[in-house]
Amino acid sequence: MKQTYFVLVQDTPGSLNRIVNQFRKRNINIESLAVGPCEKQGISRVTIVAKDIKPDRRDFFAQSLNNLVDVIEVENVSDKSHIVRENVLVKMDPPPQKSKDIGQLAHRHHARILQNGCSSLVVEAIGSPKEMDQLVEDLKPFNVLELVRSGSVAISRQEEKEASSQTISERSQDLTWVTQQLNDYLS
Amino acid sequence: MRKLKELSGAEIIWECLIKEGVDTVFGYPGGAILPAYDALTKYGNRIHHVLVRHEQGATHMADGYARASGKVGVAIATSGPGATNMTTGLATAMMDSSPIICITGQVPLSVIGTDAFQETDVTGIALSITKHAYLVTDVKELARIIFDAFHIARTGRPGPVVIDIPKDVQNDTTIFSYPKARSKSISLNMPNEETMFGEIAKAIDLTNTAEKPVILAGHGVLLSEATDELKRLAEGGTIPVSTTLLGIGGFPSNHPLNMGMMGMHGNAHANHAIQEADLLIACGMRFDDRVTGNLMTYSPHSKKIHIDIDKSELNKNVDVDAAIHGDLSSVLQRIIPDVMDKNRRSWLNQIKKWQAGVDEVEILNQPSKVFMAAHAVRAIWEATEGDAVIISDVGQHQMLEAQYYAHNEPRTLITSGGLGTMGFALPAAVGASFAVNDKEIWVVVGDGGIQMTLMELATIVQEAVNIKIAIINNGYLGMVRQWQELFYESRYSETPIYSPDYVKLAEAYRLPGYRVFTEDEARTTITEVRSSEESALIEFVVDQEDMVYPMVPAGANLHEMIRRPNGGAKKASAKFSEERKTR
Repeated sequence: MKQTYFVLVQDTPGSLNRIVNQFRKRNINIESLAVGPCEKQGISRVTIVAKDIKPDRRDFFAQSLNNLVDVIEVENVSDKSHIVRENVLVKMDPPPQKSKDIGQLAHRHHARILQNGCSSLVVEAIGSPKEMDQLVEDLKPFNVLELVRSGSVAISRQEEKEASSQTISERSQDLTWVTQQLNDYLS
Repeated sequence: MRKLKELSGAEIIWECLIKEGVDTVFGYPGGAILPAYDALTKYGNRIHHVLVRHEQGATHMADGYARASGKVGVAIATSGPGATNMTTGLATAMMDSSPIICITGQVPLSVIGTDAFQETDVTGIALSITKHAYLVTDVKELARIIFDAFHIARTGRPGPVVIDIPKDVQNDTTIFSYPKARSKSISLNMPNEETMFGEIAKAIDLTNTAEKPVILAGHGVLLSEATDELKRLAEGGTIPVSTTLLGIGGFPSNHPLNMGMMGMHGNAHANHAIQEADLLIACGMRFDDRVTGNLMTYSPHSKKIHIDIDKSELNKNVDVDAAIHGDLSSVLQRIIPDVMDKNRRSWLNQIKKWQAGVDEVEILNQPSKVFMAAHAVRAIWEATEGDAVIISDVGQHQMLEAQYYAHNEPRTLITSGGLGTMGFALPAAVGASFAVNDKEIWVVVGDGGIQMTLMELATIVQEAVNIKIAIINNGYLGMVRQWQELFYESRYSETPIYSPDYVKLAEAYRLPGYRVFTEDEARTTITEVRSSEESALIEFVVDQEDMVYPMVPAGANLHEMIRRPNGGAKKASAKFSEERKTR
């Protein structure tokens, strides 16, 4: 099972290196890594997803990260209810007859279509890593030129119901926007 | 108002060290650390600088100083090769939780990252072998960083810290003021007293209900200065104690409850007791593979209490029933009052039965006249009445020292346990000699290890310190040879090792040198060198193919030890020993 760790760390040169090194030195491949400023000044929030960590080593990783002098807080959020999102950008050069299929596909995945010159287009989507895996799979027949994934970011949630209703309302807005973008592109 | 004087970064380094109470540093000058060495001329009357012969030696000396004194040891070197030479010492200190600070010069900020002359990415290299590493980019931050570095090195689980200081930062000036408190940004994963209650209550319960408990005492006993508490716990509950290699001295060897060392070359009865125990109380040790053997079958019937200052050690190798993240000394103080004195006579009797006819005395009791490494160690023990500080290197002699030299006090055995760094002993002894003034200092080292760092003999002479060096020469890299004999069908691949004439070598360094071939010669020579305040070197030419027993092969079950075969030592392989005697 994939393990997701939240790490709060001082935003100083080398601090990310130290975090990553805890995985590297134990020969664990990091599947996804996202770093950025957080609500506290001078502190970065890191979200790390790694697999192949043996069950009896999961807490050990958290504690090893916590031992780092510039790490303030570590949480293994794998088993907890939390919102995980990833951003995907796909540049494609689809055959003209398939353009319409892309529109439907984008719609299905709540993706946006961004114009990118005249010969290619970019699909942008945000969703859970699983959803993004599916999107990437579905886009394969459309002559993918470039694929970029941001890595997962996660945030804990208090109550599941509240959060999911929010997502739906967000997405209904998205839908109108996608349709509009698609029309722009096709015209 | 008096105008505050500005100091250079180089001066600030020494000011800070003085504020930290440092009186001795071990180092080697070079290009990028020149400003600091220039400033040292002003501070030489307050800080003694020991000029080493190799930067690795400086780190081992700082380490030896730290382990002997309990204070932070300091080593200094230049950038590039100076710093990379320090890596073995840093890794050694990291593995054995030894608080040292390594100050390295660095190329000027303006050329960092350009592969400038003698530039190396020190903080990058230090990543896995230090507790923390700083690159100082502003002289205004220097004092704070040094303060924080000392705090980090000695707080919680101690460890090495590197401070990499570019040459221009050493030259820049600022107003010096030494911080009074550590930076808020440091987070050391310290224990939380409040969350401890439940686990402590559990531990007390487990201790009071156990019929066959064993205390496992590690390096943490020394680091936390918990020897008194350990004794009170053992005596209060009548609980036998076994120590790790680095735990030796944490519990008196002559105490009736001390079963001696555990693990791969530990005492058979200690290992049996651990395997049969119904409770293990692990105090400041980390269930290393050298003490557990096969984890799947390790102490299968016992409940386990683990007390450690490093939370990541709890439940790491062994799942425990009470995991106490705390300082050993204060945790034991909370446990001891509630530990009931139980009659554990039948358990102690059982251990005595296992002990009967133990292997460790076998060598000493053998009628054979062959002079063995164990005899040499025993002779030193007898002469010093067990009261010397022994710095042992790595290999067979290290294990034999642990078996045949009985230590009764903490910090009287200094050795590289976790990393197993050959060449550690000689420089570490130099460091220890600056921390110890009421005890004799003996180095016990093999003919392999001495040849790794023997350049520090010059340091010993230059510093006029008093260190007795016992080279246990069996003409082999003995421990590797032992593994080859046992597990590689006696194919002694590259383990026979040639030595220089150590007596002449000693003379070359203007040290008295001796060579002995028998137990009697050993005794007389030891007595002779002890009568002098001067350092001396003795080469003990010992049996070549003796082995360390008992031995738990790597990965085997802890209770399945290879015992010393009957008939004692094999005849020494003639060719090598003849050659050596006629030399």
